[in-house]
Amino acid sequence: MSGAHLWLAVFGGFLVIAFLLLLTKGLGIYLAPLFSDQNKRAIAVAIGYLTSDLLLRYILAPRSFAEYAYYTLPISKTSYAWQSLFLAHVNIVNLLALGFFTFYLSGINLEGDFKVIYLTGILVLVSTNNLLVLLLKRSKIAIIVAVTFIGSAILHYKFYLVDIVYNQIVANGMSTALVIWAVAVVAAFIDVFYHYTSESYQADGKPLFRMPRFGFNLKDPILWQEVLLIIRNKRPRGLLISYLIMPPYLLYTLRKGLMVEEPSAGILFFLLYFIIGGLAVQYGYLGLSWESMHFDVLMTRTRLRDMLISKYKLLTYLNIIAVFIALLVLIAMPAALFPIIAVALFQIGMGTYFVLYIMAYNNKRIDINKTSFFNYQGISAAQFINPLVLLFAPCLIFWLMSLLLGSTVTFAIFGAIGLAGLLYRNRLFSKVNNHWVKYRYHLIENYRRS
Amino acid sequence: MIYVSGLKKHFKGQQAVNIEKLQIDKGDIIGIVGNNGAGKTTFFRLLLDLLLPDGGICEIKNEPVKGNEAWKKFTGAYLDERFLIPYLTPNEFWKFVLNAKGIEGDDIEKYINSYKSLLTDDLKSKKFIRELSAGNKARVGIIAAFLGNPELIILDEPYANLDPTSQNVLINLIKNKPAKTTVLVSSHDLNHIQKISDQILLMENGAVKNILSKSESDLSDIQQYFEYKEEV
Repeated sequence: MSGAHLWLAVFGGFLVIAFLLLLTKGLGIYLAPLFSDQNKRAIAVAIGYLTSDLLLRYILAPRSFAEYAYYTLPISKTSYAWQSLFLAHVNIVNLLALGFFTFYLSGINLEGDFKVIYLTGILVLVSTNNLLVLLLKRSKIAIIVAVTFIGSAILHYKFYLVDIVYNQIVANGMSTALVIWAVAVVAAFIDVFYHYTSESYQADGKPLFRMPRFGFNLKDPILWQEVLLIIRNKRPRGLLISYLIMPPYLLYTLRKGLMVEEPSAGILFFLLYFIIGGLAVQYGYLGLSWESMHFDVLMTRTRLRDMLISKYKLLTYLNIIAVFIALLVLIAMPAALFPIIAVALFQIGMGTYFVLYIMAYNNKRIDINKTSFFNYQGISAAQFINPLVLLFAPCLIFWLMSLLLGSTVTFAIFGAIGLAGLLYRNRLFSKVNNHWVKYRYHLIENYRRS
Repeated sequence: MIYVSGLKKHFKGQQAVNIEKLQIDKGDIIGIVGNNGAGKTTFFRLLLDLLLPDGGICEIKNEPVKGNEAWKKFTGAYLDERFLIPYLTPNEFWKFVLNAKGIEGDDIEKYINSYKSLLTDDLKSKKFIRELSAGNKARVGIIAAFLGNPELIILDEPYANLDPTSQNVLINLIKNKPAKTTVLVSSHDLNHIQKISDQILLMENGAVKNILSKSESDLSDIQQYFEYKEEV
């Protein structure tokens, strides 16, 4: 790992932990009234943990559950180095577990014995989960440890003596459980290392950033050239930087107002949609014009649908960055977690397609390496109106619906629309693709002439 | 390899291309000549599905070009700077081209190194394409058109910005192309066209005026066609 990557990893790690803390603060607000009984809440957390783990593994796995195990251990045949093994344990499951630790650390009404039981429970969950993964990888140590775990649970019910030992562990709490967990993980870690260095391994493992089930792959050449477009050209870079500064600044100025008086649902939706959808709309409404100077090469080298999918991926990544920024709202308004999730789902599942659809109307050529400030090249009335429609139309619909159905139901409907968009993404892609096919000659000609 | 029938394109009522019938066989090198406005570039753009024809059909390998993207996998083209990505380095651009063809890994360097004779120091440096001279940009585009052993290569006036040595390198590249590769080259330089072409296509007002072989009489016909005739 080079210096820059290490720095990024450390910085990114801190950032993720900070946001997870915020997220768990928000989660706590929702969980507390739902599960006033602390035991029920602990069960809810356990179920949430395992469900999200399964869900994420399902998303990450390219084919079937049979390969379920491989997606937390991205070791390929050519690179079973320490770095890969390290990365294997900085996996999505453990990051989630970290999230639940931060939930615990956020200290929501946890006291006395419960605190100990709760933490022990989480540790057991994490270790069981890791062991399950290793078990599926045929790790011998993992099998032994798992059998011990299961065996101790059976013995716990059968024999009084074991029961005492078991209670002792719980009573001594964190330290004992932590030691068991650490020993299990280290033992399994060593075992896996020998397993992969001693045997020829057919590289089924995929890096963490590949999500083949959704076609997410950072190696996508079209996507990568567009990432370089943003980094290396003044106008898209300026636009991105101004966005990254503006919403946090807006939230900073609004924070006191949000703390004192809760905004109406309509205002909250607008604020969240502006933050979450704003970045994709800002970048996306200029859409294909970003490529106007080299549109011919894309049209003769790449399939239109591949280009569309790459654009979708890029806008989704921008949406995800924006969701992290939107989590800052939780500082002032912890109860805003549900609206944030609903708006994020709507934007990723549906809003992005509106942006992609409208892209085809932008037929003005722009010089991407000219500064973005006070630069209106490529923007005429249509390009001015499009982002306004993209931003305000959903807000207007939300406001009207919330008058009829109430805000909670309307947020839920918007989230459901987003989920439906994710499920029917192929149909939506086809719709946008046909629209682009219809407009492509028009775009090619205009980019050439203007 | 290429079949064109009844292909028509007008710009503001003026005929840009009007080709009744044209067939180009696999492996042929076709030189296209004609004065400015003869329709050479428009013909290429129609072949590459960059223009909507007013009528007629273009087929590559028996598949219509319009509404079909299969030809992109086996076609390499360089018409002008719009066929380059300005904010990439030449190496990144070539990798992009090969990746788009599904070629990855170690093969990439192998492909790029086979065009060593066209690589200048600037092309090996980390300079972005937009920072290169016109000649070097042409080199990047020409190499990109050849990368990945395409079955069809289309080059529009590729000699225009090249120095004499590079012009000769390009002539050799085209002459030594794989037997199955079809090449379409337009140029205003009759010497170059004569050196490389199996057949020469003479265009005038968007139409194919004549298809000529490399026989002495045909070559003198072309020379005669382009001769300056003083108006009396």
